[in-house]
Amino acid sequence: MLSIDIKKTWNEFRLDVAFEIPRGKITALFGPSGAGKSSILRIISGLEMADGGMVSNGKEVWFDNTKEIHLPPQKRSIGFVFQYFALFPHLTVERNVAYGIKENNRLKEIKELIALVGLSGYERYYPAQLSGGQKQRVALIRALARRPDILLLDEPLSALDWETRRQLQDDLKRIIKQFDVTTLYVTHDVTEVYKLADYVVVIESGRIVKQGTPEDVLLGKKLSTRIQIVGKVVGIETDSIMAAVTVMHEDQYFKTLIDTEEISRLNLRIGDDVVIGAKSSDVILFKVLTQS
Amino acid sequence: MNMNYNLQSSNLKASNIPGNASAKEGVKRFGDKRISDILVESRKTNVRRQRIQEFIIEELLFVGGLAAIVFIALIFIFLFKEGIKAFFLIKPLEFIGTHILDFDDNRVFACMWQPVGESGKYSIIPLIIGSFLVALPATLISTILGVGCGIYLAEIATAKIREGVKPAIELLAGIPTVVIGFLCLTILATYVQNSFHTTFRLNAFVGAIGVSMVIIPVIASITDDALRAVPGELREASYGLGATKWETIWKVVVPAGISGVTASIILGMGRALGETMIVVMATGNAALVTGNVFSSVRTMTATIAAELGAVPQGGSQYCALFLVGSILFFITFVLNLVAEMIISRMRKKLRL
Repeated sequence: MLSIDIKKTWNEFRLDVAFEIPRGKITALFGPSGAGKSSILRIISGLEMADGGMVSNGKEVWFDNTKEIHLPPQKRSIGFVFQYFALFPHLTVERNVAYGIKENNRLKEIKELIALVGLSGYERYYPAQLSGGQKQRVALIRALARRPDILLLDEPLSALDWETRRQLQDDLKRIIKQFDVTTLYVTHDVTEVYKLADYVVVIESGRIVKQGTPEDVLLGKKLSTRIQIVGKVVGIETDSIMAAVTVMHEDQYFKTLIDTEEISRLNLRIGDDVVIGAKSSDVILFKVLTQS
Repeated sequence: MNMNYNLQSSNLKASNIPGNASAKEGVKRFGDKRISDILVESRKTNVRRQRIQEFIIEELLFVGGLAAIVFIALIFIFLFKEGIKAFFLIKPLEFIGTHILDFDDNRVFACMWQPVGESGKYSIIPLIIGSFLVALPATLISTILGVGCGIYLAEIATAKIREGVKPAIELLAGIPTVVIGFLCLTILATYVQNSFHTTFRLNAFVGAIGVSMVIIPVIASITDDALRAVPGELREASYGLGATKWETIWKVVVPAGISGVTASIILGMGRALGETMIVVMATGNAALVTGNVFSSVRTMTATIAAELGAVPQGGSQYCALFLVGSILFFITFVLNLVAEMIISRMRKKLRL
């Protein structure tokens, strides 16, 4: 369990959050850009120092302002994945992965690790020879190679295109579960929260707005439907009784019919994030509550 | 910059006013449809004007770039034109060495630069050796100190120290070389002789130390810039993977910025080969064929500087000096070319 209590002030901006990250789960830190999500990640990792508060991993205190404890990043058991990969350009894939491994007897594992992210055969490639998706896979396995207690991901997929993103979302979940590592995932993408996170903390202008499971937080209700599709409303056609709502999920379009009354009740507009749920016969549309 | 800005704004005014005026007239005379026509027209002339402006600026910049190439070409042609004449006045073999009689009257082959006298000897071997005997140690010294200094400035120094140190280092580059030569000649030479017990008071090593004072700032400054251009994320990724500050510097920052560091070293070496005043004053100017850095040497630059002013134009010595100049030019040109190739190859490999 990673417990966090951070206070930090920049010129106009004040960050003041306290929350706990459950062990072995993927927790999403969700909110608009400029909400302070990345700063929280950087403070947890020790790349930045908070003005006050404390960060502790179980019984291990990483940062405590009152006791003047501030462990440097290399002393904290973390793996950090950056938005723009931050692979070392002068090292091959295998040496990038090996960078964080201190024990020599574990160097044998590198081949398996690279295979785990589906990059067998790319061991001797340089980052410049890889695609964006491949780079981020290398960055992920590099961060996991030193077997950290906490994996921190800072919008790892937002520099990638749709197709790659979708593939990586699945792989990311599989690999993280396989390593059974406590994960904090910064994103501003509803789909990612919905697809990856076990728990979500919503941050707005430096404060926690709400937290809970993605369903609780984003829909305000429990979903019991079999199929759930998250997407953005791209079209609404109404007549007096029924309305057709077109939802874009990644690069595919879904059209569903709902009551026209429902549209006004949800105050549904083009651009809203929604979840389409389907039971055996009924199709239900939920609006995602991104605003507090 | 300022000029361009003014040019642009005045142009905009000039094109807007007639456009507006005719639009106003248009309201009175022609009605709605006409106004839109006129506006479109005025926008068209605006676009055309901007295109002309861009064209002029592009051409000016192109001419500027071209001028640099033309100057280099002209220098090249002039130097080589004069230098090539040496081959008509002096036998080509003599540029390597001549047969002379030694003290026991044996005929020996010797490489000597001795242009004065009834039969001038024009071997350029001792001059090339002399140049490298100064430039290589100077490059070595300034690589160690300059790259070290650059790393310190970019990675370790706090902002406050940096603000003080960097201008000081750049100031060092601004000291007239004759002043450095003067210091080498009077103080450093004595000190070197006393500590290394050298035969020659003025020698290549003294010159190398003097020259390195000029190129340390060059190397330090470019290294600093190159390392600061390495993205901060790479450092953070390294810390995040459990590396210490030193590991991060040696395993990530320096290798990632290596193309800039290499460039600075080769640029420094080019300057070391071309440096004149310090070597004239501090190296003793004896054209010896030697591998000893504590021996007096005569560099190519020092030879040209010391002799060209005193020789009759068009004579064999005059042309020989131009040949030396051409060779020096050629060496530094090749050095820069090779450096450029190495750097561009590294950049390609290290692309982020």
